[in-house]
Amino acid sequence: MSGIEYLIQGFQVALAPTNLLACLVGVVLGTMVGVLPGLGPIEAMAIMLPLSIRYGPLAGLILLAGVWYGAQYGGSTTSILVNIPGEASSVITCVDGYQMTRKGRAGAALTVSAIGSFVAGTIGIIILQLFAPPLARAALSFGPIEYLAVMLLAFVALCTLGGDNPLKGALMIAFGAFLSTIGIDRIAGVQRFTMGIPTMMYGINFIPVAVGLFGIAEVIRIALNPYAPSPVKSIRLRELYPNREESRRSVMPILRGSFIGAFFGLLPGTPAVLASFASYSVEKSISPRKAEFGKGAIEGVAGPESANNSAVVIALIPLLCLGIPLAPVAALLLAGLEMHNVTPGPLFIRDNPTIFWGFIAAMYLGNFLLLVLNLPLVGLFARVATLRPQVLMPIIGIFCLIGSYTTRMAIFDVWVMIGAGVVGFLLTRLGFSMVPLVIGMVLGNILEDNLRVTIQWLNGEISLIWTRPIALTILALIPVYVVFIRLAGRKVLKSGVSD
Amino acid sequence: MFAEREIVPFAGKMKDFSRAEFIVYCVFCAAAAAIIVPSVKLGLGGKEELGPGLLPFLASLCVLATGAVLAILTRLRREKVNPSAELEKIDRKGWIRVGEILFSFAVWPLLVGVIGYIISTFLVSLGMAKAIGYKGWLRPIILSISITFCIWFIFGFMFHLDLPAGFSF
Repeated sequence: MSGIEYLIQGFQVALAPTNLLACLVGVVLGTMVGVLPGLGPIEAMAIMLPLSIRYGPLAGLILLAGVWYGAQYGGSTTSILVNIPGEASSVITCVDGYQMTRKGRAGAALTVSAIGSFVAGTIGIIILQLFAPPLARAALSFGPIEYLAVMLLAFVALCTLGGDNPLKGALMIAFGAFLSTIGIDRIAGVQRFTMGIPTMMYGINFIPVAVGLFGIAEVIRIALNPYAPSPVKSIRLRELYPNREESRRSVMPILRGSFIGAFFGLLPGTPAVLASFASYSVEKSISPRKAEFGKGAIEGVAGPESANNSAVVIALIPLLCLGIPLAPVAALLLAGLEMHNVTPGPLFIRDNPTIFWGFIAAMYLGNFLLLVLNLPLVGLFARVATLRPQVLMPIIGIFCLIGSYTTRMAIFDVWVMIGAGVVGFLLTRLGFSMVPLVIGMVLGNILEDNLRVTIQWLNGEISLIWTRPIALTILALIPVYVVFIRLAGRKVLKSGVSD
Repeated sequence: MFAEREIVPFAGKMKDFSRAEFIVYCVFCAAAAAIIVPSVKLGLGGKEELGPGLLPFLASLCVLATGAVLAILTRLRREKVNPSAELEKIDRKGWIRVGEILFSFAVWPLLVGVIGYIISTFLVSLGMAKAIGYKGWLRPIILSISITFCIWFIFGFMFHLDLPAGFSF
């Protein structure tokens, strides 16, 4: 049978009532979970795992995967509407998405996010379907040293998101990386900067910090003057969706984001986070409208939202083709499959064609369902931006409190959120961006793990690095990137647009 | 919310944010300096293994270096920042509101273990609604009940999360 015939057979399987229901439940639940701070796809998948056992392996896999990529879309909704990232990969969307909401363009941002997620998800599924085995082999060529090089490049690029000065970005990244080290060192087992507080031994969780830095800081800002005239009084129907120029400007970022996400999806750890940030960085670097970034550029929403959805799909390739879960949520999918005595790996596609192709078809369906479910809701979501502060602030405040608490069921996290909110408000007023701090926290542990393995592998022989051409290429890109950014900045200044 | 930054001679009623920035940089530098020695004591490791103190050491060194450079640049340039027209006027009432909101946030973790999340959530959302300027009591109470119900439905009923019940439920 050819690939098309397998896919048609897959659709016949995926359209079975049980599988279709699993797909629908998965994407709806995933979207809801993505919206709520404190609950992520990992928690939702863990909750759904026992439920997935009652169904067959395919329905269970479809349900769990639907939760995963549904959460990617849901996380962007609160990022855009109320400046609270629902997921780590949605942090970057806060930068321009929320600014679009403040300009009355929430509907356009949500629509572009939904369409971008659909297009990128579809491209990701096509890549998975056609190139899964060779891509899986390519993923294996990326070792800790290559990943370390990617981290360093990412940190350098993150500096450009540091508000009005790259040095501020560097300071925030370093501070975030330091915060990620608080707690018990996972290898040495020693306590680091816990100050004798028992709860600190478990470290500072990223979610309460992000909710505080973005959400609580915004609550504080609005509380200072809740009577200030809102730029968004009402939203007319035609303002709910992107206009012609916004649509035109979104096309290439969506396509670029899809392929950037596909690349980062093969990397271990947090592919969606890296993908969304890398896409934003690329769009900002090459855009002729750099001055708009940070103030509501549609490209700053279209690119990252496409990238994180594409990355999520491609992250399944190492799992399905090699049986190696490179992302935490992939590990949960693996657990779900093994509970049904199905072991993904090199022979998975050959031995379980019904499951594999049914899963591929279900992903196409789920992607389409996400679009169909969320586009009509754009109008409803966009009207959230018109709510009076007296109504909106208590809602946001309570969801922030509960969301932070439910991260680890610890009161400590609530205090962390409140403290982060105060700090975030003060630092934001002084021109600092909180995005590098949050991403520094997320990537700090991964950086340390890869640095540890790299040092052990080198074993004092620095010359061994010359045997890793991919790592050397990535490291060589760092000065190239810095020069490119400086040249691009000078070009913008010469053309009379402030940066 | 963000101030426009321009280097201009001091004139008129432009507000000077550079002193606040300088203080923030000094705080970062002081904190980083305080972390360096404990990081070294944790152990930086050697050629064959990474010590638990290496990443904190490198991170705090970076904070110290960038903070120092930024502090020096702030003093050298003595930039005067022109607040953007979008910045709302911050008066004493605004800061009082902020204090009330933060107090409301702080009350929740203090009460939730004692009286449970339902009553705590209701009281805190009511407090926030009044602090942010809701006049009267009927609508804030209805809003608070609605918020509390949504929280119970989503987190307690749908996701079966083990939120503190206190002595109330």
